[in-house]
Amino acid sequence: MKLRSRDNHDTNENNMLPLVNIIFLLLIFFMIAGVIQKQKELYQVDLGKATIDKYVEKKINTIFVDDDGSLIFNDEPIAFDDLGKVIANIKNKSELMIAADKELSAFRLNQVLLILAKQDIKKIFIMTSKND
Amino acid sequence: MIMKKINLTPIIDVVFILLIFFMLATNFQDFSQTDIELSSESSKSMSSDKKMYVVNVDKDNSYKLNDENLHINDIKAKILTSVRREEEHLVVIKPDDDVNMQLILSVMEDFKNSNINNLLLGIKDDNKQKTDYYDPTSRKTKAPKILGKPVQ
Repeated sequence: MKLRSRDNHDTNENNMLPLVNIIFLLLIFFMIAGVIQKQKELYQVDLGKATIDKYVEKKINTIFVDDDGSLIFNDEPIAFDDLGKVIANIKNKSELMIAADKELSAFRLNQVLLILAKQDIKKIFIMTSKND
Repeated sequence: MIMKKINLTPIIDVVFILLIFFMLATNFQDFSQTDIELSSESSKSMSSDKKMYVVNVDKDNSYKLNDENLHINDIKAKILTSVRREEEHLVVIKPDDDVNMQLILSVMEDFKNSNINNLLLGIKDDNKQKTDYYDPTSRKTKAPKILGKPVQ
């Protein structure tokens, strides 16, 4: 049997084209649809889903409240009893962000908000995960 | 004329590497936020002249408007009459102790989507409440005080 090497070569290369097309499409999709940025550290807090106002990325004091009520303030785990003291010592009291777990009870949220209200925080934001 | 075939392998290699880079570096995480006003005895922004809508939210998705059991749509309709009449009003969302964050957010989202904007989150100002961990049996039955007159 006579093999035609040239034709075989052609077929092999032609078969690669759909693959290349798909890879190109995937590449373009990720380049356009995604945003290259550092993944925001959420400390295992599963944010509640709600699309309310636009999230503004800025440096702001943030309290993470997990469903068991454990607190992380500006990357540092803190005890609930110390929250008042910690908040009292921060410089910028105009704004504060709360990133609360979706399973957090209103009772615990209330405890945190009471402390913030006593410390005269002017604007409190709640961070949520956008609905799909 | 002999057509020289271009070797595709190096370009596929590069595209693969770019693809892997973009797949790893891209972030689809998207956030939203809402600012909350707190309503409590100590709140200075409260005024008794405004019409008050106190919406109680229960764990089993039941709602009360000024202590009257109503469907959420009826509550929204009542509040929207105030919005349409351009009356000064405040809507206080008072979640029950065991309501979770997701439900509070869903209610707030629902209200904001229905053009109800003067939302406040009711907080209970109870100094005696010292327990760090939630114990349902220790719940106070006393209703938290809120300034303003409830709507009849």
